[in-house]
Amino acid sequence: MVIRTRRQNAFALLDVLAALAVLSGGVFMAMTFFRTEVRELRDTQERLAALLLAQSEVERLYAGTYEAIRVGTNQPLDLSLPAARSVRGALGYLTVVETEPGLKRATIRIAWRSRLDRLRRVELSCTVSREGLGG
Amino acid sequence: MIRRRRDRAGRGFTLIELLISIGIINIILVMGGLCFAEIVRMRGARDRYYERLAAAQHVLHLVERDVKGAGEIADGDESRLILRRETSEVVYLAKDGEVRRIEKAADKTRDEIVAAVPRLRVRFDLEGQSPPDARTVATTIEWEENPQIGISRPTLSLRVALRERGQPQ
Repeated sequence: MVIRTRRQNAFALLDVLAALAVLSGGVFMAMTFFRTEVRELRDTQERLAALLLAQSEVERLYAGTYEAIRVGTNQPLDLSLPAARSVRGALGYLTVVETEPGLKRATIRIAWRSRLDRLRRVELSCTVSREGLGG
Repeated sequence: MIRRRRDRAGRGFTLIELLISIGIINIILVMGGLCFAEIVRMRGARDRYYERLAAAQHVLHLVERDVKGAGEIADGDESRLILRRETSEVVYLAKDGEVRRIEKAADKTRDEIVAAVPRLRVRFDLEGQSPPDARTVATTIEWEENPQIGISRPTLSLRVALRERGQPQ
């Protein structure tokens, strides 16, 4: 014998809360998806722009003479390219070490702040030789 | 024999209950639909962004390769770059989102469109002597992007230097 009372037909508070939690979970997941997607695209763009800035500096070194590449740590770079403006607070540093006579290793670091104020960095290294560059 | 005793509420849904249920289902469906449409739009915007990015990188790569292979950066302005090789000349022309690469040799001319993307702006800057004895070309590519993807005006620049007395390295 099945006896149903009026009380059993209504939603309990727990049912409503569970349904709301499931709905909120769905909305939260969708929002997280968008935020992650946007953040990753922005990161990709900034990283690529920074990498090209670093590559430009490598090209500048290759076009100069061996003697013109000064040995030193964290020498500030002048990032005058227009793309530097699209990378927030971009700063460039050059570190040059003479690994052996006639051979220098240059490391270019580009650091910037992401939109979430996190410090980001890319690094490119190259080796230049006196024979290759002259000077 | 099973006897069922049902009170009024157990007999079925009333019209008002049905209407409320349909209303709630509609709201959920509309929210789901909006979410889905947004995901599709976002994916589309992202794909278009990657297409423009690939086109921009392709142009930068070609210019870099040609400058490194050139004997001389002969001339140029914001929308034009002329590179001279031993036996040929390479000209880049950028206008209205279109970048043309024309390679002129003694016996043949090759004219190709290397990028055709609406709103893509390509600019060449021929710079002075930094480092000394070198001439540099800074290629800057920027375009308007859908703000939905969080980047309004992506800009990429690459500077390639060429020694006046010869090729780099």
